[in-house]
Amino acid sequence: MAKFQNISISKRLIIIQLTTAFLAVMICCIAFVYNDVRIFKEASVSNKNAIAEIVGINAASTLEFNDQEAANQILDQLNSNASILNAVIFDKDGKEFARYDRQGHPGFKFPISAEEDQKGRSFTQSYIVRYPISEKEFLGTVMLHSELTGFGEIIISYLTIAFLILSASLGAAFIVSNLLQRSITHRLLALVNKTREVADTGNYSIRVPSVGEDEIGVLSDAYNNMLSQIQKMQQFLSETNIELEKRVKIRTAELETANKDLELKSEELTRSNQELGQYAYVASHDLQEPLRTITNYVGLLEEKYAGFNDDETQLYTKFVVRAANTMKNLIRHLLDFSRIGRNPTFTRVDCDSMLKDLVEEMEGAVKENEAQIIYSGLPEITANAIELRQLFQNLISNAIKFKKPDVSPVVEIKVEEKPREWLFSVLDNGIGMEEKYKDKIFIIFQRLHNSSQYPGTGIGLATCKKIVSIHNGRIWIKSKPGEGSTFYFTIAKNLKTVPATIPV
Amino acid sequence: MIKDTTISTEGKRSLISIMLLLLLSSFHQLNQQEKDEYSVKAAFIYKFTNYMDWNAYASGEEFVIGVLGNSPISPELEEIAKTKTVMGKKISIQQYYRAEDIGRCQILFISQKASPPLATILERSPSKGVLTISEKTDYAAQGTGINFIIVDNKLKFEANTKAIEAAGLRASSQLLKLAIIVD
Repeated sequence: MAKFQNISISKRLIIIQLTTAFLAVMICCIAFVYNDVRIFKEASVSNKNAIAEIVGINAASTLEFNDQEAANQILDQLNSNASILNAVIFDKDGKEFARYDRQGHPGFKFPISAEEDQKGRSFTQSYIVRYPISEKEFLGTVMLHSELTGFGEIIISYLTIAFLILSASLGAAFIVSNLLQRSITHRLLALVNKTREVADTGNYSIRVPSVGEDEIGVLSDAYNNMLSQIQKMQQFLSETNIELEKRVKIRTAELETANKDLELKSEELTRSNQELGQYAYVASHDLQEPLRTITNYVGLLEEKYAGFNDDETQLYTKFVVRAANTMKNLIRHLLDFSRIGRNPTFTRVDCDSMLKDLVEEMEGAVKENEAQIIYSGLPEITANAIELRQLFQNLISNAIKFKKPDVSPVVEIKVEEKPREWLFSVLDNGIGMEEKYKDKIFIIFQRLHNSSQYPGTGIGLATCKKIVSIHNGRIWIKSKPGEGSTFYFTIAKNLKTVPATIPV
Repeated sequence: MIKDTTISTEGKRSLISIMLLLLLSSFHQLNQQEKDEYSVKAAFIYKFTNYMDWNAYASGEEFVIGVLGNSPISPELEEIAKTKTVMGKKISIQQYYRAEDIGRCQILFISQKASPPLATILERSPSKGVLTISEKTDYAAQGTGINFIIVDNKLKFEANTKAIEAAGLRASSQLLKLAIIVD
């Protein structure tokens, strides 16, 4: 048998109604039969009680005047009542005074006490009634033993009636519930079908016909309401979607244009940068040749006309030679500068031994200024060996150059390991500088002092900055006038043999 | 043994004493029987009061039962009067010997030994409100209300309904159905 929950609602409604009707009628029938049987028995009992009372009243004088014959005559009259089987009159001492037995039911033994009257007797069997006889005082007891005649027939007729009523009411309930349930299930089915249709087609404009104001009507209305809200929502969503798509398209187009522009600009920049580098290199390189020619011929002039030269001529020649040397220096430095990063390859560099070589090479300047270069325990790092050396050389030369007039310079080089880079510091006891110039000094050809005071090309620190950039690092200065300077620079640890991009 | 002629004097004497004893005991037995009979009669008389209606004729302070002539019933009635009442009244037993003595009473018991003839008694007794009870054959037919008789060794009673009605009294049907009706 299918589960009750899986049976269709219409069948379930019919089953529920039939069960209800069946139970109601059944309970009514049981109640009526029980009540009628009870009434029947009560009627019989009370009838017998009345008879016992009449017999008792009639027999009172027979007991008083000890007239057994008359008492027996009274009892014999009970013969007319077919349901009375036995009757006895006991005197006040409980002795049998008179007796009547219906034919075929002789010698029934009456219980002594009233409590035993119903003992061993079923509800439908025989029963006993008793009536105490008394005039001025207790005289004796009348007892009747009777059977419930016609009980079986009554039960059968009741059961027949109950069966008929049950069948009729079940039939009627079936017809009525069949008719009534349609008003519920038809509408429910309509609702279910519409729901299915909506679910299958996704068409939210479908509406359920709303009839009536009962729960199904409310449900239909609520369902329609929900559908219209979904519809609105859907519409709103699709509109928003279209709008969004439009916007995205516009933005994407804009971005693409911007990207293209950027690419173009970037390419242009790279190209112009390369061109510029190339130009600087070529220019400096090509400038060397005429300069050398100038220097050479000025030398020849000096040699050839050494004896004839007056003081004025000698001074002019001297100026020319000096200017030519300055220019030579400038061009060399420019060449160095533009060479940086042209072919950057990184290797392992032992900073300690590199610095040792460097200091030996700079012995002249060091000794002349009585400078002291302090370093120890520097690590082996990945870097471009030539440029790193150039970097240190520039910084050390710088420190010696800007020494205090009467103080021999002390330069201390230290390193600190950070998670992703090495932090070098180059500390000196020189003249120092004001904080506000800390950015200016790294720009090419920018000088804080004129060349007569501190000679230089204004390219050294710019070169340093460029070298550090190639090593993915930064360079900066901390300084105060008169208190020395500390240059800090970092070298990235993650350098491979991959060349870094050259900044502008 | 009694008819033995060779009985000695002593034997004769003892025989006499035995006979005397027998006589005495039989007398005693007779006496006892009579006592029982009157005990029942007295009880009956008392019970009759339950089944009789004296109407207005019993308005006195006491319920008076008169006994005419000597009778063993008197002590039995006295015995009943000690404990019982009739219609809430004390029972008083009056003893009459002559017809002239008969006073106001509700029941008049005429003893077997009453000397006056019945006609005289009935004439002398109050005409209304008195239930006359007798114990002689045919007395009911002759005008008493109730007359005790012995049938098959059992005490029964006759009732003269006309006499009872004439006295202004009413007997219950429950009583009359047990009585032998005499008109």
